[in-house]
Formats: sequence, structure tokens, C-alpha cells
Amino acid sequence: MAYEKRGFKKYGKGRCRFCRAKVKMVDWKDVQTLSRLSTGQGKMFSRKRSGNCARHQRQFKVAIKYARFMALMPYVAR
Amino acid sequence: MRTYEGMFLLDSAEAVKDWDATVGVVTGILERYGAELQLNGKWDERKLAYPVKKHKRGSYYLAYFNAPTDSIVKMRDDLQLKEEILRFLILAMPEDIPIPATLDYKVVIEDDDDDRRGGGGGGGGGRGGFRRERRPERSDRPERSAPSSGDAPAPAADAAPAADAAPAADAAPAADAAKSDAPAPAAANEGESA
Repeated sequence: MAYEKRGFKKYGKGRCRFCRAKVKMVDWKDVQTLSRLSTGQGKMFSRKRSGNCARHQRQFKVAIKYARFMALMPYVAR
Repeated sequence: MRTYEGMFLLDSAEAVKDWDATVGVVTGILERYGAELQLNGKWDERKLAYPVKKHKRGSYYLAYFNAPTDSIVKMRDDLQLKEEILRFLILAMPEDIPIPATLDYKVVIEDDDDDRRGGGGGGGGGRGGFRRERRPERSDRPERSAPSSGDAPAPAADAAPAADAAPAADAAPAADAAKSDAPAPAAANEGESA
């Protein structure tokens, strides 16, 4: 899309934060990162919003589910 | 044998009382089924995102261990019976990822929201709806716009024709018109409120 191309050029870096950080596997224990990629209610950001690539968005999806199970992240925040 | 990552959510009250004994329950079970503990230790003690078995706080114990693949099911069965263990999660480590050097996790996103905010302001009006800082504005808007658009212009619009119509109909002198101006808006307001 035109907008994404423009943003890409402007900042001159890859789209995905995890790719930029050369992350092999999204860590489900990294609550700070997971909460940055989710809304105040605890919902995940879409790929469009998070800017994640497909692979890392899939990993993030699983990671947030593990984190929720271990009560590190909320399933739903009040 | 495979490498596993196990996180155990322990009863915080028990853990504070005697950490070694509480962890001993976990490690005892792991070692009984042939696990070789690698990196392990207390991960954190924190408030839970939601109550688990009526506990609001919990201590996390994190362990990386090698274990025979068929032992995990038995471990799970045993771990489930222990009351001090509120919850646990045992995951097989991906084979191309080594055991980390420390228990601390690496934070990928420290605070890079600012550069994304700047990008949104430039071009993506349509994407604005996704942004976190827009949300408070949205809830404010109805409160702000309702009093200003609904109340303030409306009396003025009502009062103006009334003031104009009064002198015209009576054909009264200017002094009388001025007098009739004063009660007219008041009457209009009363009519509205009633």
C-alpha cells in the first residue's frame, strides 16, 4: 500500500520489530513486549497496527496465549 | 532426551515461608522422572493478571531441563496433584534455540512507540483509529460537543427572532423595544425549560 511504502522509506528500517531485533522466537515471558503489542483490554494488535511480519505475528499469537495461561497477561482486562 | 522449559506458578504464601521446600516439590517430581536440571531458579514474584485458584499473587519458578520425552506426561500428572503448584507450563524448546544464559528475558521493545506516532501523524488518517492515544479523545468527544452544539447556539437563535418580532409587531418606540428585549429571551428560556 502506498502509505506503508512511504513510512518504510521515511524511517529506512524493516517493518517488523522482531526482525529488526533479529529475534528467532518471540519470548512468551517478555511481558513488556507483549503488552506493548496489545490494547489496554489485553487484545492483540493486528498486524497492520503492530507492523509484525507474518512469522513473528504467528509467534506472538502463541506467545501471548502462553503468557495468558501463566497469568502474566490478562485474558480480558476489566 | 529433549530440552524443556518449565515454568511453575507457586503459591506465594508457601514460597515466602520456605522457598527451598516449595521448589523442592517441583524439582523432586522433575528428577524422579529422570530430568537433568540445567538453568533454573526464581523467575519473579508478582501480582497475577487474574486470580488463579483464588490467589492474587504468585511466585514463578523457571527451569530448563533435559528429560526423556515420555516422562513429561508422568511429570504433568504428578505436578497437577500438588497444591503448592498453582499452574505450570512445560514446553519443548525449539531444537535450534539454545538455553538462554540467564533467567532474565530480553525485552525486545523498550519504548519505540514515539517513532511510530510520528509516522501516523504524517500520512495515515485512516489508520488513526488504531492508535492508542486516540482512544481517550474519542470518549471525550460526545461530552464536549453535546453541550456546546446543543445548548449554546440554540437559545441565541430562539431569542433573536423573538426580540426582532416584538418591536415589529407592536410598532413601539425604541425605549419600549429595549424593555421588551429583556424579558423576551428570559421567556424563551422558560418556555424551553418547561
